[in-house]
Amino acid sequence: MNHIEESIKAFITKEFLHGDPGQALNENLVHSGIIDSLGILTLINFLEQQFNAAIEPEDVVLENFETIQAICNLVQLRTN
Amino acid sequence: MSKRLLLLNGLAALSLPFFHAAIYGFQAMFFWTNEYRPVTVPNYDQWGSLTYYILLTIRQLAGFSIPYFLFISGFFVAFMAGSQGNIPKPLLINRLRKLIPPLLIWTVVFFVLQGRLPRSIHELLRAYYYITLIIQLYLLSPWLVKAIRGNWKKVIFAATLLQIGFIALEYTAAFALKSPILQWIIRLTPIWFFPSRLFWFVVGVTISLNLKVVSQRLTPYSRHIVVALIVSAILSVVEYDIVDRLSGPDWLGTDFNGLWRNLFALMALLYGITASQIKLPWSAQITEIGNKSLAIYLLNSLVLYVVSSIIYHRFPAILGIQLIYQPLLIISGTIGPLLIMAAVKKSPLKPYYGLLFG
Repeated sequence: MNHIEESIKAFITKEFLHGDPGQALNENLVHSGIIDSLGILTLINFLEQQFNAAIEPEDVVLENFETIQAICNLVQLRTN
Repeated sequence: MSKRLLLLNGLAALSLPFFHAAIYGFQAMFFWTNEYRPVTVPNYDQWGSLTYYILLTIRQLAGFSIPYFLFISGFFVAFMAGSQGNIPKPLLINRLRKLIPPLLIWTVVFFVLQGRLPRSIHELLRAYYYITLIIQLYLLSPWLVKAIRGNWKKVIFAATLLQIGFIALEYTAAFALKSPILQWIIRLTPIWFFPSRLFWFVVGVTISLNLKVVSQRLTPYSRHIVVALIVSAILSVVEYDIVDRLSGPDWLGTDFNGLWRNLFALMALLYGITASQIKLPWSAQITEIGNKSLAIYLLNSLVLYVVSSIIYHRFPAILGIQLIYQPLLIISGTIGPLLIMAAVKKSPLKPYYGLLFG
């Protein structure tokens, strides 16, 4: 889990926060505007490539992407 | 699916310089002809040539980018609404905060570069009409999402009728029908006003809300969609050509899109949802460019304006050689924005990167 969390944090920091995470990773990623329309697709693509997670259409809901923890849970669910 | 949608987004971003380069190509072909040949302008001697049809095909096919970006935005809005169907206000405000500063900054740059003030509100808002549209659509999205969740079939039917109405208006404008009511409707529904492109946003919201059902129902027809994509691409060129020939001696211009270009854009986005995979060379690079689509949208037309102005004033002979003129525009319109973004990241302007590019 820790490895997944660190990878996701590193990816979000690099892709959406221009390398400067600050406190942003503890916020709601969607509400704070960190993840936008393209961002959600980019993140799903990353999860599929990096963890071989089979993200299904029904998984693409707000609740699964609001926090790092929620994203980790989704990855665990879809890689098992 | 996300991979395919991202790849298509990259293609949509790459289409922008192709689209604008084709328009500059027409400009050189018909209205700047006197810069490289002893003729008066407008001059339509090259109308109907092979070069003309190549430019027309590029212009018709590359025009799927704005519908596609609106579709992706609608897709995301439905996602933001979550299972409750409510879009939190702070979230909307955050989106608008990201869109308004670049719109203001680059609109100012756009007119400063041209050394003049906008002649009308219409011209001012048309410069970056996609962002003007998306701001309106985001503001309307709480009601739109609610309506689509309530009865998506009715909303999509109404949006389709509206889109057909706009295509009909293009026809009336092409044939210069003089009805005062039609002229009044055309004036009241400019390209930057949300009804003109509402359809694509509604399709994005609808597909996002019904993603599983849509992908299950349409995937068996993915080959039919590919055929429809190719057919609509060809017919979009044929339709433009027929309307151009029937509508009078002057060139039809760049405001006419027609029915088949809209259908081509629709098939392109359905292809993104249903295709098992899309194999293209440089897929990774195209996808990466797609991540910068907003900045490419903001910057490519400025870069093209500068490059075409330099060519017009310093090397006018190139205007008559589209084989050189087009690659110059396309390459500068693609690489220029990427270089400007990279330069900003490495300059003291880095803290303002978000303000500049969203």
